[in-house]
Amino acid sequence: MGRMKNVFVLLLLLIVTAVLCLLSYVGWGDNVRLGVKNINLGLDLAGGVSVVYQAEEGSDPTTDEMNGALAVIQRRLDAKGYTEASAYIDGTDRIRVDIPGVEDANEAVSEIGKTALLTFVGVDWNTLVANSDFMAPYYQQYADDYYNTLSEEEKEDYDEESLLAEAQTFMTSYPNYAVQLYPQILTAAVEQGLGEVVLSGTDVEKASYQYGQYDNAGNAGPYVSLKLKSEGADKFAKATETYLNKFIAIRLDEVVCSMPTVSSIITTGEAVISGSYTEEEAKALADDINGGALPVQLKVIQMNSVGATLGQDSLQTSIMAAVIGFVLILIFMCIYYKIPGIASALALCLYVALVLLAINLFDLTLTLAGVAGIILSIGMAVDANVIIFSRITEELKLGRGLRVSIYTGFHKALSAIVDGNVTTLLVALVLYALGSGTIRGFAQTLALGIVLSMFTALVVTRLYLNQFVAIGTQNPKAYESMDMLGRFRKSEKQEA
Amino acid sequence: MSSFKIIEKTKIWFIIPACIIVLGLLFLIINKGFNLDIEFAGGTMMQIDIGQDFDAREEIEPIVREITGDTNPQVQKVSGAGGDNQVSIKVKEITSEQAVELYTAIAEKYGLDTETNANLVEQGSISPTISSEMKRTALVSVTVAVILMLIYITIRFRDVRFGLSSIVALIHDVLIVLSMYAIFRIPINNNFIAAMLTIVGYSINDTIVIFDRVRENRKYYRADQLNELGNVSVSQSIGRSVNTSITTIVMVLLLFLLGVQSVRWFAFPLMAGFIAGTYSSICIATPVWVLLSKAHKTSGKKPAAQKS
Repeated sequence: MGRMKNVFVLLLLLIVTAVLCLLSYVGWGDNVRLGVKNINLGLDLAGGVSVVYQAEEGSDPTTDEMNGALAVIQRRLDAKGYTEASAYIDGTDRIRVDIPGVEDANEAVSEIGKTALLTFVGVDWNTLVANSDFMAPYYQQYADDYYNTLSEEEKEDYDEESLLAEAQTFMTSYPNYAVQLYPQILTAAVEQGLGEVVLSGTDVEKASYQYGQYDNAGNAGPYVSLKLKSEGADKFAKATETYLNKFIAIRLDEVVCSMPTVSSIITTGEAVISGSYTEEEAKALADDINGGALPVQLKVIQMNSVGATLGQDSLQTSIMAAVIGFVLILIFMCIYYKIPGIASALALCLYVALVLLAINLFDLTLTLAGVAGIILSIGMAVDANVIIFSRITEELKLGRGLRVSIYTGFHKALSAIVDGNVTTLLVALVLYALGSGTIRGFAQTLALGIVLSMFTALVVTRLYLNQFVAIGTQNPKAYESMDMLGRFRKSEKQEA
Repeated sequence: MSSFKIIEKTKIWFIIPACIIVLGLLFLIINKGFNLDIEFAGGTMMQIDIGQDFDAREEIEPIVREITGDTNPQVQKVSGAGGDNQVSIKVKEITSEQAVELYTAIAEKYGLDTETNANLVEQGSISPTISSEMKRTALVSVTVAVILMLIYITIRFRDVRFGLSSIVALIHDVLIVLSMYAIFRIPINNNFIAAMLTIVGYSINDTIVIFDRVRENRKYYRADQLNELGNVSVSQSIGRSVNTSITTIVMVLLLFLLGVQSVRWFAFPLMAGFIAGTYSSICIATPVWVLLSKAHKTSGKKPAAQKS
């Protein structure tokens, strides 16, 4: 009966190992979740550009200002279609931007780092939509865009003329939607003197997120309040007078943030941007304006661009090296350490699967240095097994029983394994705390690998080994490691 | 139990690595310092796949001088991913406009595609601020890691001599690897810190396994049997040391054989470090511990071995 139980446990172990290995490779479901294809690759492996911008010396930016600058950069990345790009603040005055798979690094770098321009554009919308010469191309574009959204049946109900009429009605009635969809209308209007830039970013003291009532009609909700510098306040007073009951659009670069109607002449130097904003939108807008108004000049202090070919080559060759090396190690373990070696080989397979799954689960980014970290941790996982098996062999040579030898072997190996791994873990922690970029990636994978390697060596290998002992041969020779160095040792003794 | 006579040959074990380190120093003097990559020296680096045979010095260097204004650029022919005819250019820091100009000029000369930058294999730029930070990070992280490990080992082994001898072994490994960087002109870049700290971690791990034996065997030997204690402990763990090194080195060797240039430059010092780490844990750490313990004993204090 006891034997049956061991067979069952062994089968269970094998199934768990196989399932986890498979899961870590192919993943789960259509999105291959947890599969190798789902692992984030660093720029050195995927190809792409990584840039670090720093505020010009002496500008001493505040946290708010840096957040503003970051918001602007993120908006530009989106606008350029770099959807996989990530940007974050590094330290107090730096912004790091990673863009995978970009072709022209130099162009991307200089465009993203430009200082954003905040402008207030006064415009008389009714005059504008009445100017059919000016509006013709936009009506046409709207008509085309609208036509494309229609189903085949609906398309038959429209002709060119009715579509253009639809466009005119839409743009006349919903100026705010019109400029959101086609911001180039305002740009063209300014160029042709049909609208004017009444205020720019340098006139704004500060934008901040507020919540409460924002107009005399009693509407309340999130909004953005602007505080203007005294010069800006004068300009704004004049502009609100000129454009009373008309529109003043607030733009960052070309994108229109909002286009409120001027309901009164504002002389206090305070303005409110309201609309149906959510809290997040209003906060983002305030950040955008602070960023655009911010005279923080960003300069590139570090740039690294890796072509897609080089990245793929690095990845493929490293993976090939890791796979071949790993298979060689498994063969070595099985031959040199016999039955315990087979147990460790199975445990090591599970170990690699666990590392890959953990990288996926914690959403770590795998870099070249990270691959090196994994290789080192495989080395350490093997080491833990080697230490244990040497101890078991020693106990067996002393003539102890098989089960006792295995128990004592694990017990005596524990202190060396723990001490060795803890010191290496210390190194990984120091690297993580002090390093940056690729070094941190290396530290993360190394730390992860160390923790998992201790688990597989001390728990999984042991579980497998115990089942083998219970089911298979009891001959101690099958559990003793080969002794390559024994001969040298003996010959030295004879000399002495 | 039969054992190797390691401790008696202490002098030989110390002389061999000393020779390598002296050689490294000589190379360092001849080459006027390490081969610093832009991460540590600052500047701009470009690697372009020319796709045909070319002369780096005669053909490309003049273009680089003219466009960047750098009177002493490093222009080298290298082989890398996807082609053997690649050029690596290192200059002082230039703007991205200058970089575009430089690439376009070279691309036009060899009839490469100037639209997509497809032949620009790699490009990097580091300002002097960052590079001096890198140097500081490297130094600070190695120092902090070493101090933390010394504290941990002292606590775990309740004997500062274990910590001190493992640090001696560690310094040996770091010096050997630095000698490799000097002798083979391996570029010192971002991966250098990762490589160094990996070696530090490996070396300590390796040494601790042997010291674990010493700690365990101490109770079986008298205070005047330090040589025997050392020999037996090393002999018991030598099989494990060699096997672990073999498996780890196989992994790194394959990376070195199959990898692209930057991977090879990472794998080579790691290999050297692992070999040095194995050597030092067997031939440096334990002999130094024996020496320290003997010095301690002759100074008249009660030997630690008899405490318990």
